[in-house]
Amino acid sequence: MKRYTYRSIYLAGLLTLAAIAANAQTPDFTAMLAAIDGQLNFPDHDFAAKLRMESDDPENGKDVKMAQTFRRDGNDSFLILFLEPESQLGQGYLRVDENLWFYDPESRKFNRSSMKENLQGTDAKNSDFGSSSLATDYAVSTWTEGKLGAYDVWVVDLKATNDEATYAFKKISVAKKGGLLLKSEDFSLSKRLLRTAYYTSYVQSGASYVADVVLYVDALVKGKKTRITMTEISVAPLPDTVFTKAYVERMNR
Amino acid sequence: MKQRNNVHTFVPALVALVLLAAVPGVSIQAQDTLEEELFGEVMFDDALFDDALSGGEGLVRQADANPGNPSAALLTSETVKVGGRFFMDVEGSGKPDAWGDDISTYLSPGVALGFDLYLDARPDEDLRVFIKGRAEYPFADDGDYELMEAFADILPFPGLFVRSGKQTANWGVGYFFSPANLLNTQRVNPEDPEAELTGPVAVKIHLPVGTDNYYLYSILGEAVDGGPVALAPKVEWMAGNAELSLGGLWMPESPWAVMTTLSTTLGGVYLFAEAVLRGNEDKRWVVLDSGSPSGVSVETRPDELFPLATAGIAWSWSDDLNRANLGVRAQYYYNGLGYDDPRILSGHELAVKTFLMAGALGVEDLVESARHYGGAVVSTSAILDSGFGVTLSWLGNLVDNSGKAGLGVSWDGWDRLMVRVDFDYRYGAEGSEFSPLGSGPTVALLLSVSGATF
Repeated sequence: MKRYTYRSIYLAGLLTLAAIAANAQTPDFTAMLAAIDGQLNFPDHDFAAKLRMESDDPENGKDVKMAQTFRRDGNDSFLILFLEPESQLGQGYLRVDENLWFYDPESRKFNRSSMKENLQGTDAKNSDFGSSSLATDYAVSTWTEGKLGAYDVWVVDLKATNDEATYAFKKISVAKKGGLLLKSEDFSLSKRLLRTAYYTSYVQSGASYVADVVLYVDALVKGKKTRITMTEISVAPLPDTVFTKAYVERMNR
Repeated sequence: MKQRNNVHTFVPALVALVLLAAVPGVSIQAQDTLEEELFGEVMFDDALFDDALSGGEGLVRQADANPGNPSAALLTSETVKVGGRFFMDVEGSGKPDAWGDDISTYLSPGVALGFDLYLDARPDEDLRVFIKGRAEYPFADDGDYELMEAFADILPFPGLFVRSGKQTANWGVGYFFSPANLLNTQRVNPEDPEAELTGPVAVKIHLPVGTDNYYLYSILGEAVDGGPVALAPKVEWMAGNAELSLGGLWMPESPWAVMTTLSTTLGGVYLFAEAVLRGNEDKRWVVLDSGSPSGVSVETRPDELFPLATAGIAWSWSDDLNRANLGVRAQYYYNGLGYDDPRILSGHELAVKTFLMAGALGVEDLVESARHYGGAVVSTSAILDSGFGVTLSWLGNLVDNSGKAGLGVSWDGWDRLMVRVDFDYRYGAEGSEFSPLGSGPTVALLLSVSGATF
């Protein structure tokens, strides 16, 4: 009996030490979310890129859209202007502060839209093109260590803290080295997986990063996915007038 | 024998169980394969990743040092772009109340055919010329071609936008009714509320300041014939997720108007409202006149002020699976230019026709003749990911209790083709606004060529 007691105490001590050691290596995940936002946002300079959106839908076939995007995270603005196909030329999404408009060049009207809506039938959401706000929109529920391909990652479960968050729950995989977001599984309120986003390539500018290749895999329709590729990435200053209705109207047809 | 039967049922059940159990495994395996492909050793190993973070190639690469100004590049083009849209509707419509034994007479055929054509020239970052017209069949020599827009965009100096020429100017935020739509030469058609409207010949000066917008329009429609110039300033302010606008239209010795609009979202519901005050109106009213042989005469009321207002909501929903969606719009409209009792028009139909023929009244004087209107539409599209959609709509004159209720079923499962069946029921007394010939249903079958842009 005594032998078992000593053994138990010894085992408990080992476990405590192991836990302390593990805690010493465990990052502050709330700070990690803020760090990801910090990496993915451009608070001090503008951002522009050409977007190529290739959607593959087993029911509707393949579809390619081209767009130009502009971002100014400093005041939470962005603009997406569609360039192809011809039927969507001149359509645009303009976000200024808390407002998001969709511009319809047919009616020449700006109609209100939502960050939670899908971008023109793709698997991407409007919110995917604005600034990152993981730290303000989500709280960390649980975490574990994992492997994503060749990468050691932290796998972190997140729960939305407000109604503005696009998804109710997320499970993100963050590279242990570098802290870049590599994967995000996005869930509904009923915890059903809706899509998985893979961030497979990044472009760095100063201290900021942007995922220039993102693959969105639809979890509801088997085989449906959208690959978004950014090219002609620019962090040069943009005129203030870009984030205005006037600029969008100049691009109409 | 009984045991043998059990074996026969047990083995397939076991196989099925194994297969069922394997399905998630297959799915997980497929995901693993994808992740290996995306993040595996071959493409992005740890060494490359480390290199990448220090500026090498791999998962992370450096942005180009000098990629140019894309916002300016979009504004120029070395070629003149020619584009447009072809449209064609083949329709058969009929009134079931009048259907007899001959099925071939049930639907009267009709064809709408036409095209939009535009030229878009962007020779310089500070200059753009755009011309757009529409032709509709039959293509007569002297008609059926409408100049929709013809304007030049110029930037006299950075931050100031000038658009000069014939241009659409959507001021209102209403859907079915938009009294604040002061500048367009066409009013919103409640039965086709999303149709493109044509605007005036004008010079628009637009100054964006932060999130606010300041506009000044010089309306030159009458100046073309030597008439006066109308001025129309407008301001748009942003406050949180609300947008407020204030504007006006003034021309010497002509009707004037001031308007304000508000649009915002509240709990996922889009709210919109317009209020307008009009004065020096040139609208002509039919009024009771005991001294007139017909019992009515026509008068104008230039000294009265006329308030108009509208408010509405829009809301949309789709389920997480994107298999179901719903859109709702509803709007109320108070038309201060309407009659207290529009039945004065139907009660003196002959006199009204005489006034129209004599030019004492115009058709525009008879549009929206009541004070109170309502409109609503509920729609769902791509039901269960099919091409089917259903729309329920209603438009009503709340004074003479006439209206139009509709049910439409559409299918767009084929590229660029849409088939639609509409069932409309017009209700109200004979002579009422929506049911001048009395109540009754209409059925229409429509085949449309859609999305034929080039």
